[in-house]
Amino acid sequence: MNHDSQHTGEQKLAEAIKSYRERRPGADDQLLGLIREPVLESTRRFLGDDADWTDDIVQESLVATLRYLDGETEFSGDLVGLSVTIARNRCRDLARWRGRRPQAEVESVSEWLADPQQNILDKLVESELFDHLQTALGHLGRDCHDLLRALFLDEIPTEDVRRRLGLSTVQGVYYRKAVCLEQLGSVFQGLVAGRSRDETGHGARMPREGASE
Amino acid sequence: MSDRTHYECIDLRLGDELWRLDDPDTPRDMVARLERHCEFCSACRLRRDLGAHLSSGLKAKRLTLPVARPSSRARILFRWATGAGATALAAGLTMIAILPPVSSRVFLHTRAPDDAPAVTRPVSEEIIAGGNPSLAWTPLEGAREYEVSVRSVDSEFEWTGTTASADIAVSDEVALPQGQRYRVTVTPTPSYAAPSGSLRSTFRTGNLRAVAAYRLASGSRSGRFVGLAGALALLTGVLGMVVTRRR
Repeated sequence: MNHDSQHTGEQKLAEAIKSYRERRPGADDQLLGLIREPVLESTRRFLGDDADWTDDIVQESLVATLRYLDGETEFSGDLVGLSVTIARNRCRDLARWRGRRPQAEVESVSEWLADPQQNILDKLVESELFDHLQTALGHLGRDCHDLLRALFLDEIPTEDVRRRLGLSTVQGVYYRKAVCLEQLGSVFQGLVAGRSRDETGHGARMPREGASE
Repeated sequence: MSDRTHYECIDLRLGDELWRLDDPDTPRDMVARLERHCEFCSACRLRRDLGAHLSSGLKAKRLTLPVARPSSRARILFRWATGAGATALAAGLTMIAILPPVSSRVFLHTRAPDDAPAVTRPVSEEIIAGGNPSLAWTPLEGAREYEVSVRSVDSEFEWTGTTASADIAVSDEVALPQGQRYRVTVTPTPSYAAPSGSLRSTFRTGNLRAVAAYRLASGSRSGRFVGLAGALALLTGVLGMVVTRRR
C-alpha cells in the first residue's frame, strides 16, 4: 500500500515537472504544492524555536528550486531532495549568520537570504578567511599537500603531475584535487562553526585511482 | 553536529562531477551545467571558491603549505633498515658464538697444507671459557685409538684420556683452570697413522670478556660479515629515523 502511494506520488511529481517544463498554465502552483510540505517540515525541524524565518526560507528555497529546474534541459533527479537540501543549506547560513551577528538588522538578513549566491565566504573578512584556510590546510594529509603544492604553487603541468602520481589519466588528478578541496571545505566549515579538530575528524587519505572513473 | 553546520550538495549527480570543471576536455554544455549547479549549491560553490582562494593565497604567499617531510618512502626504508639490521646483527652474533672461530693457523705461514690432519677444536690459539671443553681433531686413517693429553704451560695441570673416536671431552672430574695456556697432544695408535707421530695445538682459557673479545676478533668470518653489515644497517636506520622525526 505504502509502496503504491509512494509510486503514485513519484508519478504525480514527474507529471508536474513535465507540465512545468512545458509551461502549462498553473503547473508551477501544482509543482510547488507537491514540494512545499517536505521543505516546510524540514525547515521547521532545522530551525526549531527560531521559527520567524521559516516562511522566508521555504519561499526562497521553492523559488530557487524552480529556477534550478528552469536551467536544466533534462531533470531526472530527486526534486524533493534537491529543494529540501537548498532549504537546509539556507538554514545553515541563517544559523551561522545569527551566530556571528546576533544584533544584525532584520532587513539586511532578509536581503541576504533572498540572494541564493551568498554563502559563508562572503561573510568572512578576508583575514579571517585566510586564517581559517591556513588552519584547514594543516589538517589535510601529506598527499593533498603535495598535490596542492604541485598544482597551485609549483604550477607543474597536469600531465607531469599525473605521471608523478602514477595515474593513468589526467582526470584522476582533477578528481584527487576535488577530493582534497572537499576535505578542505569540510574542515573549513568546522572551523567556522568553532569546532575542534577532533570533531571534524580529518586528515583522510587520498582515494585510490579509478574511484571516479 | 556537522549536520547543522556543513553544507550538503543539492544534486549529487552533478556535485560528484564537479572535478570536471578543471578538465579542459569537458564538453561545454557540461561545464555550463556544473557552473549553474554551483550557483544554487552552497556546498559545491564553497568547494570551488575555496580552490580559487587557495590558489590566490598561495601565490600571494598569504597561505603556506606545511613543509614537506622526507618522503614516506625514505621513512619506510629507514624502518626497514633498522629491522633488517637488528635481525642481521643478531644472526651474525649467533653465528660467531656457534660456528668455530678462524684458526690462527690460517694466517701463519706453515709448511703444512690446509687439509693436513690437525686439532680442530679448540682451534690453534683459541680462547675458551675453561671447565670441561670438548676436543676434536681430524680422523686419521689406520688409527685404532687416540691418546689425548692436555698440559698447562703455566702450571702443573695435566689431563690425559683415551678414545677410539676423533673427539673427546675433558673429564668432569677435573676442570681447566682459567687464565692459562694449554698444549694439546693427540697421539694415535699406531703412531705412524699421524704424519709426524702426533697432532699438536695450543689454546688458552679466559673469562667471559676475554672469550667474547676473542670471538669478535676471530669468530666465523661469515658471522662477522653478517654481524657487521647488520650493525651498519641498524645504525643507518636508527639515525635516519631520528633525523626524519626531528624534521
